[in-house]
Amino acid sequence: MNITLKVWRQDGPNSAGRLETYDAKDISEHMSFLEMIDVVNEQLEAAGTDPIAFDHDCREGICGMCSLQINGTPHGPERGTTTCQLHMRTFKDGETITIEPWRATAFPVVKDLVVDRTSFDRIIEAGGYISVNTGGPQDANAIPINKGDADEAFEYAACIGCGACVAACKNASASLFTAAKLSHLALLPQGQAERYERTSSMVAQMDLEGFGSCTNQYECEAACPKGISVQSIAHMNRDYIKASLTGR
Amino acid sequence: MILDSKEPKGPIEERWDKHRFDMKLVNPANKRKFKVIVVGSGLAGASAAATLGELGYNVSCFAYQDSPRRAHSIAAQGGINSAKNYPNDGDSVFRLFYDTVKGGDYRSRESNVYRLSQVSVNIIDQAVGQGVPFAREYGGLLTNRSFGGAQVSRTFYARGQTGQQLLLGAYQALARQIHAGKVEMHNRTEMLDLVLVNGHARGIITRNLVDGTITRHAADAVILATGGYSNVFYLSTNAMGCNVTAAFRAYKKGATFANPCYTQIHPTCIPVKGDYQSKLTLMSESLRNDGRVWVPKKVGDHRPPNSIPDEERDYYLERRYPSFGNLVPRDVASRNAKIVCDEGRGVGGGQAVYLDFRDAIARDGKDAVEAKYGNLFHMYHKITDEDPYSTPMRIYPAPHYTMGGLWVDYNLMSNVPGLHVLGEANFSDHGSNRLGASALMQGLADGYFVIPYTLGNYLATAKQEKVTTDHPEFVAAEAEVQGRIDKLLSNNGTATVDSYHRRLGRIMWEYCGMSRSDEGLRKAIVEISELRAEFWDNVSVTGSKGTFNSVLERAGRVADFLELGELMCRDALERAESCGGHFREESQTAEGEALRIDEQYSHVAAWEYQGEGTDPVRHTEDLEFEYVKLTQRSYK
Amino acid sequence: MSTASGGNAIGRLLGSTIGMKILMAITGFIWIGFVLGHMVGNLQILLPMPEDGIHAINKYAAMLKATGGLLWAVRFGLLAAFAAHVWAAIVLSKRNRAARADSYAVSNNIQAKPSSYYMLITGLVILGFIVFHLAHFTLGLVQPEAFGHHLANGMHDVYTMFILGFRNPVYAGLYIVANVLIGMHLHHAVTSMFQTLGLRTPKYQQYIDMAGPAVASVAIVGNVLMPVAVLLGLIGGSVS
Repeated sequence: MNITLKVWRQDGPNSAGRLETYDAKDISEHMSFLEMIDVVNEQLEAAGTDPIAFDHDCREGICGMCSLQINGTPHGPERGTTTCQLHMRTFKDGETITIEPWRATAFPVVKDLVVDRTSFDRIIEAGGYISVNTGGPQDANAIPINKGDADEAFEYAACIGCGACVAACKNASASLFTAAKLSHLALLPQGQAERYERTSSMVAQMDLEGFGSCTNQYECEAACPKGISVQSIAHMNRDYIKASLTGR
Repeated sequence: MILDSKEPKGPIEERWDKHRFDMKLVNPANKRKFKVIVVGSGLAGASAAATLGELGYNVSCFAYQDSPRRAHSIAAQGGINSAKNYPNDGDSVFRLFYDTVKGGDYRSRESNVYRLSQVSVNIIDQAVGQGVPFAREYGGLLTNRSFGGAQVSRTFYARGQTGQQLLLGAYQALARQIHAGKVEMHNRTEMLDLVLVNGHARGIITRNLVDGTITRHAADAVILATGGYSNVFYLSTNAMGCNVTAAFRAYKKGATFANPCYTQIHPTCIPVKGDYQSKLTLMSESLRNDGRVWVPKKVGDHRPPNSIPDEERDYYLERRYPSFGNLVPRDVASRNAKIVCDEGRGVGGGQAVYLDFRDAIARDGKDAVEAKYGNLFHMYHKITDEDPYSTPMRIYPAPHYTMGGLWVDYNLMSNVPGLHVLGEANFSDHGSNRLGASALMQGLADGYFVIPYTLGNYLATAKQEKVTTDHPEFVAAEAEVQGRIDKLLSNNGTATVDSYHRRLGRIMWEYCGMSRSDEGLRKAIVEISELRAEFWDNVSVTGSKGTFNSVLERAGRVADFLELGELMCRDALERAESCGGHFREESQTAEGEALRIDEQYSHVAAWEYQGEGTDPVRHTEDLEFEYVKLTQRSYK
Repeated sequence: MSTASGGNAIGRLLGSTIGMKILMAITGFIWIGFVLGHMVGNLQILLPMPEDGIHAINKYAAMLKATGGLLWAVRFGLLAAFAAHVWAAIVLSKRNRAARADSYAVSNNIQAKPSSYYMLITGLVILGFIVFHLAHFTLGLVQPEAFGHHLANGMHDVYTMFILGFRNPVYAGLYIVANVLIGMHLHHAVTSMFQTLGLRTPKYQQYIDMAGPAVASVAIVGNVLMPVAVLLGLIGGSVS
C-alpha cells in the first residue's frame, strides 16, 4: 500500500515547527506503524537527510515510550492499542495520515515527534510510592488483601505512563495519570498510612507542572491504551476533598 | 590473570551470612561522603540506586530512555520465582538453588546461586510492601503458579505483566530517593566510556541524547546494570534501544567478559514476517502447557493446517520427548524447531512451526482456554491478523536473554576494582541456560539485597583518594569518546546503520544462534571482521553531534555489536561442548541431544581485551560442584 | 512527601484545580436546584384561572415577596454562587488554554459528548440570558408595558406580565433557545458534578450518567412548555 504522511518537524523546543509531507511507498499491511516510519526514515537516512525523530523502545506496548497523535487521536484509531502495536492494515491504501507530537505545555517538544514527559516523573516523585526502605517490610502474606481490591488496584497499576491521556484531553490534564497511581496505592492496605498526604502532594505537583483541569469528558479513558477507568479520578477527588478538609 | 571468585567457604547455607558478617561496613555518617554511579534503571539498576540512596550514599543514576520507568525489565511477562513455599508443595531454598544450577546446565557458581535462592524470599516481601499487586487467592493471600516446567509452584505473578509491576515498584522507590535528593537521575543519557584511575573504576563519560553534551562524572564506585545484548542478533525480543555499549566499553577498559556465547533463544515468539521487521514479540511460554507443537510430516506440504489430518502431522516434541513432551526446557524446544525447519518442514514460509490449541479447546472448551490465554491470543491476533482459536498459531524461536556478561566475583565486582555489575549485564547466576521467571529474581536480588552490602565492603576497604573530573584519565577518556563520535560523523559513507546491523544479525543468527559448529563459527569470525571494516569505511551517519541524533546513537551501538559478535563467536568456538543454550554440533549424543563435556569445560570463560588488532585472551574460572551432582540433562 | 499547603480547608481547596472544580460543582448544584425550583413554581402558570380572578402564580409571587429578608438572602446567595461559578470557570479556562498552548492540526474526539465541548459557550449565553431575564421580568426594563399591571387587591399581576411577555414571538423564541442551551449545559453539568465530587462510584455510575440527560430533559420540557403554551394560545385567554 502507498501512504502519504504529513509529519510534524521541529528542530528543537524553541524552534518553529511545520507539517512536512512524505510518501511511504510499498508499505506492507502487516507492518507496525513504527516499522512504516522506520522504512521512511531509512530512505531519508540513505539520502543523507535527517530522519524523523520519534520515541519508541519496547515495541510490545508496555514501556510507554511510544507516543504520536495519529490523525488527531493518541496512538491512532484503534482503541486499547499503543502506536507500536498499531498495524498498517488499520489504514486504507492511498490514505493521508497526519502525525503530530503530543501537545501540552507540560510536555514540551524535544524534536519532531519527541516530547519531554519528565513532568510525569516529578508527579510520581512527589509521592507516588509507599515509603518502605529495602528490607523493612514484613512477610508478604502477613497482610491478606481482598482479591477484588487487589484486582482493582492492578487495573490502575497497569498505567504505562505514556501520556495519551494528556494528549487526548482538550485541557491537557494529567488527572487520569495521577489518579491511576493514587487509586492503585489507595486501594491497598500498604498504601493507607500516607494516603491523604500522597493525594495532596501529587495533586499539587500535577498543578505545578502546568497541566489543565479535568472537564469530565473522559477522552483520556477512551485514548488510554490500557483502558484505565476514570473511576480513578472520582477516587482521587474524593480523597483530595478529605485530605483538604483534614489538612493532610 | 587469576579470576578469584572470593566465594566464602563452609556450608553453603551459611556462606552469605558469614560473608555479611566478615564484610567491612561504612559508618552511617560516612555514607554521604561516597558517590556511586549506577548505569541503567531496570530492575537491577533502579533497585540498587534506590536502596543505596536509602542507605545514605549519593547516587547518580543514568538511563537512555526518557524515564527510568521504561527500562526493558518492564516487558517481562511470566513471573518471578521465590522459594517462599507458600503452596506447601515441597519447595525450599535448596530446591530452588538445585533447580537453578541444574537448569543452567551446571555452568554457574554454586555460592552465587544459593544466595540468589535465599534472598528470593525477601524480594517478594519487599515488592508487596511497595504495593506491587501480585495475583491473590480469594482468601487474600498470594497465589503461585508452576512455570517453565518446574515441579513446584514457586512463581509469583501479576497477570502477564509481572516485570512491569516489579519495575514500577523499584521505579517508585527510586522516585522517592530522587525526591529526597539522594539520587540524581539522568534520563536520555548514554554511558560511552568507563574511567579508571589507578586501576579502579572512578567514573564514566556520558552523552546527553537530547543535546549531545559529553559529560564526565566522577564517583567512588561504578555499578553497571545495563541489561543484555540480544540485540546483537538485530531481531530479538529486546527493546529497540537495548545495547551492549556500556558493558563493552568496560570490557575494553579491562573488565573481562564472561561466557559471551551463552544466549537464550526463546521458543515461543511470533515468526518474522518481512525484511522491514524491527523486533520480535515473545509470547509467554505458559502457552506450551496446553498448546501442541507440530509440523507436517511431509516436506513441502503447503495445505492449510486444519486440512492436514492427524496421521500426517508430526508432534515432534511429544514424539522425541515422551515424558516432557511440549514442556521441554526452552533450549530443547528451540533447537528442535530449528531442526524440523532445516529439514524443510517449517510452515508459513518455512521459518515457523504450529502451536495448536485445537485439542485443548475440544477438551476444555473455548471459554476455559480464553480464560487462561485470552490476552496472549488477543496479542497474537492483533499482530498477525489470524485467529488462534480457529487456526493454529505459528511460532518460531527468537533471541531473548543473554546469560553471558561481564565477569563478577561473589561481591558482584568485576576484575576491575570498583566496577560492579548487576542483573543481566553480569554472567553470574544462570549458567548456560536461564530458567523461566528467574531473570526478575536475579535483577532484584542483586540490586536490593546483594550490592547494598558488598559495595559497602568495597568502599570501606578500597580507600581510594577522591578524584575530580579534571583528572587526566577523565580528560583522555572524554577525548576518546569525542574522537569516536567525530569519526562516525565524518565518515560520509553510503550505507545506513541499520543495514549493517541487519547483516550482522543474519551472520550471528546463522552461525552463532541455536546451533553452532566449528566451521560456521570460523566463517562468522571472518565475515564479521570484514563487515566491521566495511562499516567503518562506508557507514552513513547523518545529522550532527550537538543535537538529538538517533542515527548517531545507533551507529555507536552497532559499532560495539560488531565487535561483540566476533567475541561471541570466539567464545562459542573455544567451547567445543554443548551446554544449555550453547549447542555445538560436534558435541551431541547418538540421538542428537546436547552433550556436555564436564572434564574439559566445567569452567567460566572470561575474555580479556588486548587492544585493537590483537586477539583477546581467554581466562577460566573453574566451577566446583559440592552440592549438586553433575548429570546429563534428559527429558526423554 | 509534603502535606497540603497550610491555611484553612477552603484556602487549601481553592489553591488547586480540583478545588476549583469542586467549587464549580457545589455552586452549580445550587443553581441546578434553583433552575428546577424556579421552573416548578412557574409551571403554575398552566393552572386554570380560578373564579376569584387571582391566579395561582400571582399568589405564589406574593408569597415569595412576603418572605422579605429571606428572599433577599436567597437572591444574594444565588448571586454569590453564580459569581463564584463564573469566576472559577474563567480561572480554569485560562489555565486550560495555557496547558494546551499549541493546538493540533488535526483534532478528533473519541467519545466526548457534544454538550461537554460547549460548556463555556453555553455558560456565557446563560449569563447573558439571566441578565436579560432579570431586566425583563424582575426589573421591568425590557417590556415596561407588560410589567406594571396590578390586580384590584394591589397584587403585582405576574400572570399578565407572563402572558404578554410570551405572546411576543421574539421574546418567546429567545426564552425557548436560552432554555434549550441551559438544558445542554445541564446535560454535561449534572453528571460531571458527581464525578468532580467523587460520587460517581461504580455502584451508582449508570444512574449518575443518566442524571445529566434526565435533568436536562426535564428542564427543557418544563421551561419550553410555558412560552409554547402562550404562543399557541393554550393559556392566557383572559389577558387582552
